[in-house]
Amino acid sequence: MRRTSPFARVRPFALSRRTAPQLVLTVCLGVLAWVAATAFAALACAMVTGVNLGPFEAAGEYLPVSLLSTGALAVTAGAAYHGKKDAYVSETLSRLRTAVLVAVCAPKSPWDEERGDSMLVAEVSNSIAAQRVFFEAIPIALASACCALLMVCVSPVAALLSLLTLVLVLPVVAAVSGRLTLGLATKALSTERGIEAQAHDSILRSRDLVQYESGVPRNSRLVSDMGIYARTRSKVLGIRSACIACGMAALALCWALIVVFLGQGALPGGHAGVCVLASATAVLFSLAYRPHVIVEHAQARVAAEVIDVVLTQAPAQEQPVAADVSVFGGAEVHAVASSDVQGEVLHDASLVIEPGSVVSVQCDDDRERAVLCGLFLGHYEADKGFVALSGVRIEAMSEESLRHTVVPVTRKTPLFTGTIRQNLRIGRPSASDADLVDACREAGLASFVSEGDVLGLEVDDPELSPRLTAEVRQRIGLARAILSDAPFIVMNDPTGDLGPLEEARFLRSVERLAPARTVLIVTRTDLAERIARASYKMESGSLRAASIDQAVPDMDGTRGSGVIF
Amino acid sequence: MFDRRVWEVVRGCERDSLSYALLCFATFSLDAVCAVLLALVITSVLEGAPSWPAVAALPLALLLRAPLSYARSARRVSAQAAAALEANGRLCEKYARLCWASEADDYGPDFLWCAGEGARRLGELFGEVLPRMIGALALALPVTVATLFVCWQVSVTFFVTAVAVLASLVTGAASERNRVMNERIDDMHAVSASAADYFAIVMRESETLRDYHVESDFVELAAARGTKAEHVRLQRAERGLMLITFTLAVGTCGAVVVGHICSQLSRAGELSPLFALALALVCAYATARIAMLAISIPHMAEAEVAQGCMVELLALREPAEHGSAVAEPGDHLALSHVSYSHDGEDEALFDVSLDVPAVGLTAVVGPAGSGKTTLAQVLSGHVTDYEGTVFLGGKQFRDFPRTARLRYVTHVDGASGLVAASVRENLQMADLSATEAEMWSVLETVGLDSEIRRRGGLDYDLSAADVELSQSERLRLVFARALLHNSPVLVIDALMDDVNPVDGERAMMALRAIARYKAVVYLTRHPSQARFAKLEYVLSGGRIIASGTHEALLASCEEYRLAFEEQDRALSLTAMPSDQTVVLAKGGDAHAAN
Repeated sequence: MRRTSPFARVRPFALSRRTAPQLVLTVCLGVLAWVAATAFAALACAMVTGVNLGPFEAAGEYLPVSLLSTGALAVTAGAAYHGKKDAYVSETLSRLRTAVLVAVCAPKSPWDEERGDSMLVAEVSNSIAAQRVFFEAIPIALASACCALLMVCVSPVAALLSLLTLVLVLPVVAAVSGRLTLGLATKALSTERGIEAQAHDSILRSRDLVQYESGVPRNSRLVSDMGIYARTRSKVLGIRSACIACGMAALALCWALIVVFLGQGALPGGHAGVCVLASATAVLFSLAYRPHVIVEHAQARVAAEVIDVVLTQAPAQEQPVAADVSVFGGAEVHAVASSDVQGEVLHDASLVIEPGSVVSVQCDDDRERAVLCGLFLGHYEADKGFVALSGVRIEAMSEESLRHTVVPVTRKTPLFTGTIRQNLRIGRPSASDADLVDACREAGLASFVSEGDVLGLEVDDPELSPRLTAEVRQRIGLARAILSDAPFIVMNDPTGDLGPLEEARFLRSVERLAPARTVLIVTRTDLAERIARASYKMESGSLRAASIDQAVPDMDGTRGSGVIF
Repeated sequence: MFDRRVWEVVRGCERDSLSYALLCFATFSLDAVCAVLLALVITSVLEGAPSWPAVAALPLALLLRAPLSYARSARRVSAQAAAALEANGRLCEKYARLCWASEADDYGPDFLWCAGEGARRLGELFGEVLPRMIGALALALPVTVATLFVCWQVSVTFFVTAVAVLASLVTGAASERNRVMNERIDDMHAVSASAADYFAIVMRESETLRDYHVESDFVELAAARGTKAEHVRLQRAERGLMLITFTLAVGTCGAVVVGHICSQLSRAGELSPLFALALALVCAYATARIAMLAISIPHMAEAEVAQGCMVELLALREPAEHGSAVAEPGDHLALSHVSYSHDGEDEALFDVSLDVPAVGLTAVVGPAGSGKTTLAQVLSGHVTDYEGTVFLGGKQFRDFPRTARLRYVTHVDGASGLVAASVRENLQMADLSATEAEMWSVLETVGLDSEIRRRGGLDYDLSAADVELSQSERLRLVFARALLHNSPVLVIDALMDDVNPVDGERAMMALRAIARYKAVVYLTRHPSQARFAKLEYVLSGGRIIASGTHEALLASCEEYRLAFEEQDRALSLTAMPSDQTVVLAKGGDAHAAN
């Protein structure tokens, strides 16, 4: 997905426009801190060496008091500057995160093909975090530039030389440390993540490790990985620290030369001027020289390219819009050939779904299921043939209309950390609690919602929550679809993670959706045939009708009374 | 403040920590030398005769920091890694000993947190914070002594300032400690981790959100969480800044007093301007070094939380293990009148007797809550405080050492899974010395050989992001591993109860293939899944109510027959169990209770 753009590093900066007031305040505090620190250092130097303060001789009477007040001001302004800088960076990063999510969620985003890759998701998240360095560099650079401008009042030549020094030294340190550590840093980061995942895995799989007495070999692998990590990481940090030290040495040399050559005659005030010059230059250098910002620059640059790709993805153009589908009149797939990223999946597939019916498709292959269901949801396009909803071709429908007509239920209902209420409201954000309870009952979660305030139940980690069984999870997906009021529900292997009895119970709930809703249910088992008006089988990319208009068995009153195992 | 027991755990990092402290001291001392050179440059310029050696020496001295910094980083990372590894290893070891006890479930999340984040914090404390502290404080000592020889007033002032700064550090540390202790464990990290997870999940599920037309709502929610996490982070940073501001302010006051004394001495002619400035700069630097230790205070407080958690976890009582009996292949495993209660009141098993034949499939069928899991744990030797007798080759099973029990009976249940590594590593868990041929042979037995070959062989990495193993494939791989373990008895607890019929059927075929070589005890709530067993036991309310073959039980056991028919009807959708029975599970397979 990576391609380099010359604007890669500039684009995220545009996000900081709205945080400009904070930026201005930060820069002002930085300049104030510089002025106070310079005054403190110059006064201290003058006091200790006993030099003539020239025009400020009067201050000599109150030197300790002036020193204390300038020192207090420097410390306070410095702390405030750092605090504001942090706040500004945080705010800008939040905006960047939002911008990335908006780009990813944009209709028909090219991201769709890759978004499921969790490595990629992690890469983007880390790249955003790495931008902290860039955003931190903005107030630092601006404050340093302002201080350099103010230094013109002290000595124009010194200001020019200081600026020149910074411009020469900082990029060199950044470039050298980046070149030497970029690959190693990436390796160290991935090893560190691997170690964390391994330790986590070892605890989760403790019983197996104990059962097979394989804890020791696994631990030795952890030890060797940790060794690799320690070696790589120490190299990265070592090189970076060495680069920082070299940068410091270069700045110190330049500072000494500036002081030596300009100190004597460049300033009014004689000896006091030397103190002011030395202090102003030293404080400016220490303000501008933020080692971590400089040495992590290379990583941030690579990260910026990743973000740039996401932010600049052009969503596909919307097609001219036909009339919205107000009354659902069934769906049709006609002689469709369709492909995913790996190649052609469906060829000559045809399917008719009458409104108000349940249609089942038995299909063993993950890709075929994904493409067939994706055709109705607009995730895949037909290379040949057409897909129509209510007689309107999908590509001619507006995004809005399509979303109000079709909703999906997937094999593993995505759950978000938050309350059950929030999770259900994905179906309809405006739904009241009563609506949610009704939908839950309809989805077979009656006893679930009768167990006190389950809607407010927090789902901390959906993957690990023992209170959310696979069946409850799938039924939450069903309740979501019911809430959405969309007439057509497309289910991609909704029972894939359920046991036989749970599957049977789930199918019973699906069956009750008709005739109010139209359902296409694509499963691996053939059990869904029994609740479907028409059923199909997927055979190497094309659909074969298994049965049509099959009488749905009447189940009322036939419930057994034995022990349910 | 620091627990000795934790120090014992992380003793491995001692050498690296000490080297790091020494290197810190060396670097800080070098900085003090630089301060003297700085004084030399300034005073020489003031005197109108710039000292060129000083001008050259200053950057050279700073350049000397480069190798020192390099070595410092290496020591720091080694110390951190060693401490974290020791802490992590000790916790994993402890959890492994506890994993069958009820504490494992109660303390599972704490173990996970402590082995990851907690170990990292301890590494930070012992590998970075403490050595740096030692280095900074060690600098104060020679500075005090050296200044004492030059001017006792300066020495005393510096000493008093250093003590005052240290006192403010200690006060800050105490208040930070109180705050961290009173907060929910790891509140900040929880908020930021949850925000990061939420961001990732919204990104990953953006398609579903768009399908439901709610993407903008979720982007807002994710943004709100992100803002909250940043807010918490900022609050913490602000507290840190306030403490640093305070310690620096105290340090500045001290430095001003030192400067004033130096200037007085300089004016009185007792000190040259160079000495006066050098003294003031060195004292100011050493004070600033101590004041800047405030940066580490939040780390110390957090490490203390991790330390408390770790001590608590390591002190958990482990199940007593003793016994020296030796198992022989072919020993017969049998239960005789076994009763067991989890809480001493309600009996999970009551007077259960059963035999495990040396070869073949034995099934135990029972509804949810009938005691299947407890029975499986008794059979595997994980529960030993039962009444009655479990025999292995005529000897009490609990008299065998734990490793012997684990080697004789392989227990596989719903919690069993694959580690995030290659197929080969997963199989080698069971037998480290297994040859390729042996591995392919077990894979063939469970019918996975062609599938694994198609995916690239034994080195197929299950931890890769794009791995999509079906449930059946995962189960069969778990079976293959159990088969490779080569223990005479395999106990399988409710593994396929929640697997869809297509996958369940494939896994069942694999299990039947395994049962041709060894004893397999299969516990399930589906009579239909047990129909291939040589002998079935029906368990209800913790008691064995009938036994026999599938056909015999259908004919003789009314409860079994009704359950079988009920399931049969349910599975063919001609009669359905009420779907109103879905309840929030409280653990195990209780969610299916009707």
